[in-house]
Amino acid sequence: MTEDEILQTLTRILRDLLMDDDIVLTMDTRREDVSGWDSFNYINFIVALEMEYGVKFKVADVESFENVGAIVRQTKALLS
Amino acid sequence: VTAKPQTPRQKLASRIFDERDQLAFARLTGDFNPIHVDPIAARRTLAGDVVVHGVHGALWALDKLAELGVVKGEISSLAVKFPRFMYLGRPADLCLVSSSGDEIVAIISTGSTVTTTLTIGLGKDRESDDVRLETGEQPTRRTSPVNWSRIDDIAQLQGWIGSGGQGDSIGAHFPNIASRIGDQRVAAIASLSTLVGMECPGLNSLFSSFSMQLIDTPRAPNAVRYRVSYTDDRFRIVRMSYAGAGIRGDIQAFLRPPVIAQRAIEDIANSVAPDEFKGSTALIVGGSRGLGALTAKVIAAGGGHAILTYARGKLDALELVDEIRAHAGPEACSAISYDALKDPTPQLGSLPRAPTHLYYFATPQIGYQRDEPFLPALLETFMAVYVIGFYSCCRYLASISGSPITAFYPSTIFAENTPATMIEYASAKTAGEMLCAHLNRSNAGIKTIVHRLPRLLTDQTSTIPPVATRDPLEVMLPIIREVQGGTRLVQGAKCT
Repeated sequence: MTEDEILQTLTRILRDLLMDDDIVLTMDTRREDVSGWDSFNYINFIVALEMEYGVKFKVADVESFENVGAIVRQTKALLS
Repeated sequence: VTAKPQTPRQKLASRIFDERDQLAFARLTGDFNPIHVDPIAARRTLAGDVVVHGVHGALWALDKLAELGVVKGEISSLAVKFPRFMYLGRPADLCLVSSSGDEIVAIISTGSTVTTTLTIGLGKDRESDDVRLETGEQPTRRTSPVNWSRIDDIAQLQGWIGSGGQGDSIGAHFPNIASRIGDQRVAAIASLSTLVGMECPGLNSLFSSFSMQLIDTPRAPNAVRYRVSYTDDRFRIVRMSYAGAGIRGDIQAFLRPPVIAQRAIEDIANSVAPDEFKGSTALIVGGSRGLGALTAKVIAAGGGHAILTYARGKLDALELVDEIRAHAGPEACSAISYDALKDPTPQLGSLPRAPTHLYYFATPQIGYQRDEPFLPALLETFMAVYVIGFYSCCRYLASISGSPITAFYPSTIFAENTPATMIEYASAKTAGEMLCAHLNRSNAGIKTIVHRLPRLLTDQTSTIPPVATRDPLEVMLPIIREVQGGTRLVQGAKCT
């Protein structure tokens, strides 16, 4: 699984969550860059991501992800 | 990243939910969760105000889709998500996203904020489920929601929620969808709101989503059996499976953090000398909860007199006064109604004693569900409270006091590292800081002390995802001592 493939999955999950097909995530995207990606939907997003890949993040990681790239990298690390 | 406009969607219908709708749906379903019907209690939740029952919105949408002929053929399944809160008094638009022979996708939005998504599956296949009430089992029907606070307490929950008895009347409110799937199933869908809002997770719930298949349940026509199938303590998630009254599916909800209570005054008294603030009278604007309530307890624990004000939370204020008086005596605390947006003269004209200090915690709701990068009206609201309201209060207190007043102005660390969602808040707080500096230079009878507070655990900062916050007492106690004239912090120092 490449980082780009994980990034595409994250984009799909967030589009589905916020019903916005125009969302295009990059590794530099921060949560506040995306309209509607509030704290409630952040958790919904993380949960959907965990279910998609069968992984579990640590609370400290979820709290500290600075951007989408950090989520992608941690997901990849958990999958390896 | 999302600068492109949304793909146009076909608007099918629009309505505004109001207080009467809330009460009507609550009476129909029995879902009287305060977040839907009690403005005072709702202001202390993550929503910050009363929100529409999500299931109410979903049933309205289904009814409209059926009425308008958008749903053709048999409905076999439904998936509903509630990504954002739907507030009262704002137009809710039902829009069609896509439609095919086997699936219809629609949303409810307020402005560009999607509050509800519905995916309707079409098809005739219908399974059967032998779910039934066993001897001794009874559906629950509560008049007040269960107050669970720990995920562990609900991890094993199961039971029945009634959907009968009132089924016909619920169907009558949504006649078009009822004629398609039956009164029984409409009542069952409505009962999911009751399950989440009153039973599990109950009082501190947030309904996130549900999925549903239409099935036949001949032995459970008027009740839905539920069972907690998964919990996650990290994010306070609760998932349930359910079956009965012609439907079967899964629910995801959150057990949101309970209302944040500041430390008890007995606890605070361990950190404050009993005569530390003796002889002082502190007017604490916005003192009924949060940092204001904490400050009132500190002042009273130190022998001072705290006059706390409330705008809407009279009950909270009176309970706080009782707590403080029980510990520190009847002279330690009093409470008055005060609206920071109005002229302070008539409101403060009958104060029991002239304040020597002002703590200004008046605030509107800070977290705001937004659909624009900048909200001018929100900035105006913040400016009115944080700048104009503060100045008006200072001016009045200076006019009635024979000696200079010391006023604490709580600013925010977000003034220097502003999240995109807090631009209006940070802008107004920054303007307040400038006003304070100006007052200090103006010899206006007011000495202001400003600190940029870190994120502290209060109702306004409480969130489901884990966010690091500091102990409010640990941060506020040195500041209060500085304001009261004791140990001085470095002026302008960040309390981080």
